[in-house]
Amino acid sequence: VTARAVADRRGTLAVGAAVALGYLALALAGLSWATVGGAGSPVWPAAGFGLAALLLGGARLWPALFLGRLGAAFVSGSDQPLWAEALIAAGVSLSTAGPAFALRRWPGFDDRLASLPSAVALATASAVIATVSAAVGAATLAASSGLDRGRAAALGMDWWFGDVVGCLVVAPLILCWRRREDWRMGSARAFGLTAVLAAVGAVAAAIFLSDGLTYLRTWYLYPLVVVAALTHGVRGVAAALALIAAVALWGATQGLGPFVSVSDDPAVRVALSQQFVAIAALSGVVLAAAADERPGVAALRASEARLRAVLDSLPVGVVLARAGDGQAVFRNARAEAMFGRDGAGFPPGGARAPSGATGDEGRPYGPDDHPVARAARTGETVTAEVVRFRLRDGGAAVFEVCAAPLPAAPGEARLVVGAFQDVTGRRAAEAALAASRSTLQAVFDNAPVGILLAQGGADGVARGNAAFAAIAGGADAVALEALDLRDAEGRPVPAERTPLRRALDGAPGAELECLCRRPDGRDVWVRAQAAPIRDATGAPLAAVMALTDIDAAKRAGERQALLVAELSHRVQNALAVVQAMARRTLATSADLPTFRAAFEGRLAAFAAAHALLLRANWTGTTLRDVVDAALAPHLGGRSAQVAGPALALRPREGVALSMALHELATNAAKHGALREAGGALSVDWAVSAGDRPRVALRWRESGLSAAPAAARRGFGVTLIERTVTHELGGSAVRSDAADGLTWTLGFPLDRLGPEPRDGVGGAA
Amino acid sequence: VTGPLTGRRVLVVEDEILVAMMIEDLLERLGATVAGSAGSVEAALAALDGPPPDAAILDANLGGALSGPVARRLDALAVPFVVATGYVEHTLADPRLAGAPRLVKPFSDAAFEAAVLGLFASPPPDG
Repeated sequence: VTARAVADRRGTLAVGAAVALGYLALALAGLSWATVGGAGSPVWPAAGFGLAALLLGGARLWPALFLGRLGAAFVSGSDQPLWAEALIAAGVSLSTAGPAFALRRWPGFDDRLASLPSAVALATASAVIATVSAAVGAATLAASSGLDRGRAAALGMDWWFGDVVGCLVVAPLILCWRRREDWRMGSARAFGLTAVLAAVGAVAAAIFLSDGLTYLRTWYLYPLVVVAALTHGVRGVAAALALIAAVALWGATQGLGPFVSVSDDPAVRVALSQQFVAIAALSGVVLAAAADERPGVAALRASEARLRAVLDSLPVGVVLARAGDGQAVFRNARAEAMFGRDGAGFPPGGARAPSGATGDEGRPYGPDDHPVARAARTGETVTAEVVRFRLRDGGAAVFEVCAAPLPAAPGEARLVVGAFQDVTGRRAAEAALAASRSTLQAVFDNAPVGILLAQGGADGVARGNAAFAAIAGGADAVALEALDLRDAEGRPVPAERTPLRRALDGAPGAELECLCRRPDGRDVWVRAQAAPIRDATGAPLAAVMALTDIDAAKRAGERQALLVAELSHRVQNALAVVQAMARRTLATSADLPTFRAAFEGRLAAFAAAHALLLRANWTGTTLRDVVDAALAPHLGGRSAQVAGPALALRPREGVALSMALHELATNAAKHGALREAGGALSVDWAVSAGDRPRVALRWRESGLSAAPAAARRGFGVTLIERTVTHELGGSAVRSDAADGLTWTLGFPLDRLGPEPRDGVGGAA
Repeated sequence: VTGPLTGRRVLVVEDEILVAMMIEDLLERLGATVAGSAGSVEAALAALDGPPPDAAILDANLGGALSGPVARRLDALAVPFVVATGYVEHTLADPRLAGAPRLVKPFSDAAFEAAVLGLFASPPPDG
């Protein structure tokens, strides 16, 4: 900061020194026309140089003017006392510093003089500088040289014109030609300027350098000054005036030109020529400034046209309205299309709401509270307020309206801007979207299939519908990991194989039948089918999974398979039994008729036992039913005494006991109580008490004519004994009496009793 | 009776007495001695408390219960056995029974002979 300040100061000092030297040089030139020794010149280009220097470099450079003026006095060998020269230098420098300071502070001042106010301001500044400087100088010289009042006044007048001409000719010349780009122009313009200046030089020379002209023809120059001003602006005028001033001054000092006819005194002629140049310069600079202003106006118009084109291209209606009465002062193309040109649209003339305009909820606007009226009335800024109203063409429309007051330009009416965006289509689309969303939601909520929606990402929480929660047995929002899917053996399904994860990875139609382990620990069979939901580019965004409860069907299928297998097993077993029955019967039969009778009897008993079970729906049977069924084929009109407590038998034991009783009944029919006329048969049973109750079934044949033959160990007997021992875990004992025999079949009760699901379920 | 299995003692585990008696007949015709005939898991295990037989014919389903425990006891005693069952295609739930040589009921004499002779032709499978 310090180094920069030092550098700035050095720069300022260098500029100041240059300004002081420049002023000194021009002051020396001016002093050659001095009327009083060392001061009072009618030609003072230094004044314009000083003004330009302070306008460009700042009023703080005024000491440079002071030093330059003082230095010029000394160099020229002024015969004035130091105090007088100091006073004159102070008057010159400070008179310039004041207007320069004021013009630099005024934002409207264009230091290229390309506006009328700037040119007038420069002329005013010139007058101020000249007045102050000339007054101070004349008063000082009057005091120091003892001039009388008339002489002092004439000197002051010369001084005044010298300063004014210096300011109006030299300052514009410097201000308008100081930059490099000021010198850049097309060859046509350069040629035109050269031609104008050549004409000016020629006419000026003809006027000011001619001899013996008896009357003034200076006005011949005005058309050329006007041409220079209109064609090349301040630059052209400044160059032309400098040329005219130089030629006029030269002619005046050489005793040539029109002013010779006025006076013999060169000083008077110079003063006259200066007055002419002053008026020409004032006229020319002001005219040129006005001419230069025109391109600015055109640029402004072009800019405004561009702005209007931009506004017209917007899809938003833009309206500017006066805050006071709401009258529209501008509508862009879109606003005109929507509301019409006549102001009857929105906002209407008078800043009132159009009939039928309502807010988003249907509330009608009051006269002064629609958005644009509010912005006008209260100065508030309204953002995207939804307004519904009827368009010119009768259609209903929904708008989002923004309104704001504009910053007021001085002297102009306060304006508000309203922007109207037609969102009718967007609103309709949003409503359609909402409708479709609620339709989808209803489907989601009421579908009898479990539906799970999952976003991508490992920590995604999936949202399930009510059916999903019912199937999976959890809440309707579940973490993906919480869904516990297992294979038929109960092993967890790997995360990357679950349909939902595969769908999230983009796999179409992922499907899996598996077990779903519910939070309560129960496994249910489910079918999970998942599909990805893709974004516009086709990348998977989310996934939806349908979960169907197939538990009942799956388990019914399993049970069906089991039943079929069990049935097949029983048929195979029955065939094996029949096969064995046939072989053994065949092995113990003397001939085929015997075989046939025995085999058919056994097969019938076997079938009857199964028929009993079938009647009881294969849940078991009772001992009484088994006894009755075994006896029935052999009674042949006789009767048997059957007695015993009610006792349920399991199916297998029922069949076994049937087969044993069939053999007993067959023997009785062939050799015993069911054959002889006096024979009697009684079957009874009892159940013993105790921890392991046993059944004792007694088969008693009596009233026979002879004692029965000793038991032949035929197949029938073997079958009886082994059936009871083998299948019932008991014993079969035969005891013979004089008129009959008794079989006692004993077996434990714990092997009997109801057990409905024989085979099925237990076996696989 | 003498035959290929003379001197061999074979245990019959079968709940249907008629089938058991037929198997006993077939074994005796091959010269074997019936080492016992059991109609239930308990009876079979009790029969195996004595001197172990040389082989066993094992019904898969004994009165509604699978005969897996008997199969494992036979394995422990290194007794080869063939599973006689009415189950044709359905897989037996007990893996030991499912993996054993199978004799599907009803069977012919030839099938029975081949199955039983097979027990003595090769060493019993491990595990």
